[in-house]
Amino acid sequence: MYAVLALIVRRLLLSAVILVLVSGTVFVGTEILPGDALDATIPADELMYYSEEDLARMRAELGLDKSAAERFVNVLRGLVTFDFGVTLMTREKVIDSIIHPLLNSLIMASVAIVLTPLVSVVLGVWAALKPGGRIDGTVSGATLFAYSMPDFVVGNVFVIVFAIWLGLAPAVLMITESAPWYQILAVSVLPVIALTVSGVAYQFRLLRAGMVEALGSEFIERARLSGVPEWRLVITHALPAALVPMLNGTAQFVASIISGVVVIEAVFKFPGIGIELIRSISQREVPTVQAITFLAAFAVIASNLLADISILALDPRVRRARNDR
Amino acid sequence: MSAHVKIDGLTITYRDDAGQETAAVRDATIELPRGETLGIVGESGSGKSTLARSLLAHARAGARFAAGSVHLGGTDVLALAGRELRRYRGGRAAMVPQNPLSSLTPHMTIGAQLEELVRLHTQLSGKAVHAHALSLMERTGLPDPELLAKRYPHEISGGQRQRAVIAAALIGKPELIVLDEPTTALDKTVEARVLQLVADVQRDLGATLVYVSHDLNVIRALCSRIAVMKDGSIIEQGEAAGIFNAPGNAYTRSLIQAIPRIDVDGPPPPPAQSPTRLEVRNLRFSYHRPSGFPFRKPRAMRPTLDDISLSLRKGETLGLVGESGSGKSTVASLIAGAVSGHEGRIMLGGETVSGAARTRSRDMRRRIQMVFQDPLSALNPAHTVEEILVRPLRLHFGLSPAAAREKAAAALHEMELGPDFLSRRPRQLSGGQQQRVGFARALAAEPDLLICDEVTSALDVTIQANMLSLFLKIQRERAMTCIFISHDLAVIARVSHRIAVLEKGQLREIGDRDSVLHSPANAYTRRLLAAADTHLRTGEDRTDAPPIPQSLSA
Repeated sequence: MYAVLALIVRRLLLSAVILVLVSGTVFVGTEILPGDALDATIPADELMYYSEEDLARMRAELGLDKSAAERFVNVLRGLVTFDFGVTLMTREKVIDSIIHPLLNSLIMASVAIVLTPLVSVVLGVWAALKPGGRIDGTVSGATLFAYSMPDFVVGNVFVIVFAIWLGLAPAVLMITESAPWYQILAVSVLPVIALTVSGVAYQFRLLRAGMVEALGSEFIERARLSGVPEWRLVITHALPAALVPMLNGTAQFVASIISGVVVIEAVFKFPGIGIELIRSISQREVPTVQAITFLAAFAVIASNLLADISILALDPRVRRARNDR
Repeated sequence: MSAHVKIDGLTITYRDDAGQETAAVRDATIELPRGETLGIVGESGSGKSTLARSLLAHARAGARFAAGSVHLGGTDVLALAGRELRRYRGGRAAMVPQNPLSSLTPHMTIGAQLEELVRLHTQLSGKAVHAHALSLMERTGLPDPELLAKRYPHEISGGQRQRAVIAAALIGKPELIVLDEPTTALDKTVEARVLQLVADVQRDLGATLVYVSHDLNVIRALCSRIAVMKDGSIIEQGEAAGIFNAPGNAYTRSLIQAIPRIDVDGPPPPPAQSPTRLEVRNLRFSYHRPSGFPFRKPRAMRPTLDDISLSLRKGETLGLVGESGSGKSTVASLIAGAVSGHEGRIMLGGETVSGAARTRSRDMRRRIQMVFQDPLSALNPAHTVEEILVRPLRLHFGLSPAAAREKAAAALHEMELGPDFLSRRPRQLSGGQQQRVGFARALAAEPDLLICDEVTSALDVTIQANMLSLFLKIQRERAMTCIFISHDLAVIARVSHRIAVLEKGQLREIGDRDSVLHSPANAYTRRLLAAADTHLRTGEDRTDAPPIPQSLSA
């Protein structure tokens, strides 16, 4: 237990450092863009109506006149206390402007995150029961193909096939950001499937490899020669061993799903955080960009930690390995 | 009365890489009355494990029963399927596999794995399942079953794991127990106790026993009948005593002669008055455990080596013997510089040797060479034998490519391999050939000290015997100074001028070969000798072996 606790504490410390670094990177990134929020939000033909004094006053209001270091400290203090400040232009709370898209994306992403490992496990176990068989061949081939396709291709193919050819779903989602969760869930079907394709493909391959290795191992042979029924061999003896490498893939998938969300939302015009991020970048809405990236980094770190803890739970050897030597 | 176990004309084939159907077992016939003990002996690849598994109606993936039949007490075993087959396996016939660590499911506790089988093979349910599992653990001499049941396989010792696997085999009260090299991975003193347990269990159940091993000593201690296998065929079978005394087959004779024995002659004495080559004084070493937190110093663990002093004269071989965890390999690693950070002094020819190998001078690295247990992992698989041998020659002696190649061929010749081996890669060689290349590489550097770490442990007995003869010849010709590390006292007895016994990081005894073997001063040395000796007993002797107190079982 001591070792497990030490591991978690170490990871938490490291996570804090990573979050600060991410915030710094985002800050620098928004800082080096030409112009500032004011230039970006005031249309060029309106700019002539503002005097230099007006602009200076507005900059002071927004805190844009302070030094970069000073602003960074302020931003960082806000982020780590989950106080994301107010938007530059409309002066509303950042959290209010992103909460609906955030929740919508969370709904879509969580469904994808839960679904992906489940589908992968079912397919992986099924294929591994008869390696080289017809099912294995079909699924393995299909996933290899799917794995090599970028998300935007998958998304567009889905739009063409399901929306345009088959007419099963609208090509572009017409739904407001603040729609209730069940409506969001209903329109999420295609985006979720598009999102899970590459994840399923990758995690299936990891699980299948793990299952094939586990099923060929000596402990399975011993159990089989002791009369343990086949389904128990697969579920209780082989699967937990095979899940460990797959969970690493799942953690990677959770990290990559954030970029996936941005792409898929753009393809389907899904009212989520990805669209919001793109919009706020184009508007130089720096506090919003910072808030979204910070939350994204937070989610990645949390999911990795969760995956590590699951591996500790599944594989007693890892728990122990940190005690020896 | 028909035979209890009856294998009749059994042929098992498998498809090789080229798609050819090849026989792993060819036309095997065995008949055993109930309660008989049969040892199947043969070298790796002889088909002995495949034959043994057929008794549980199991053929490995890609293999199939091509002809013949297997009967146990009148049941056609190969015709069993589904539920009946599952009842048979672990019920009427049980298997104890070779490697208990990889044969136990790593993420399930010992208790859970035993209870699973108790539920399958008995009528028990509820709390009785747990109680029965504990009673079996107690029966097999596992200390504190309640606690061990909660442990995972990697958390218990090798001997305990093997006892747990034997406990699992007992659950269905089998009438046939098949054991596949169950003690190969164990230390000798532990092996002796596990064999005693197997003998007791077999007698209690009145079960028929089939014991597969490459180790004739073990078979002789346990079995009254022997079947000798070579290339898939049984070439000789019969009463153990008869075969040991008068083998009817040349191959059997060579197997018996290859058995390492403690009562063999040692090497011829080294030249008298030769200078001291290696001197190790007050060597201490501990591994460090990472503290788990950043910026906290790692903590020193129990010393791996505690105050070891020894010296070695030119042309002398020191046998370093001990069980796993005794620190014998750590001594080698420190001298060779694979591990650094010791206290005390290591001196080679009067020069202090210290630090990791990479911090040592190139010449010092040349002067100490090492040969490892697993040649395949010690040789670069991407290189040809020529590249492997030429590298040290060019590095240490600055030879031209042509000269280096010539010397490489000479080095192979010394190891009794032809020049055609130069173009092969490690994977294309047999285990014995790989180890010869390992030796050739070490010798090419013309070392002052050669360290051999369990160099024959992975080899078959006949190959081991050849290897040891070759080692002795080269050692004498070159007047080489060697440290020869092994867990096998019989191997040590064959090659050593002097013997050092290590236990738990401490030097228990060091002295001339004959005095250590024939009048050991230390109690631990006597125990090692006794364990090596039990193997030399014949099958009849085993019943009057004293029972083992459970407190000693590990």
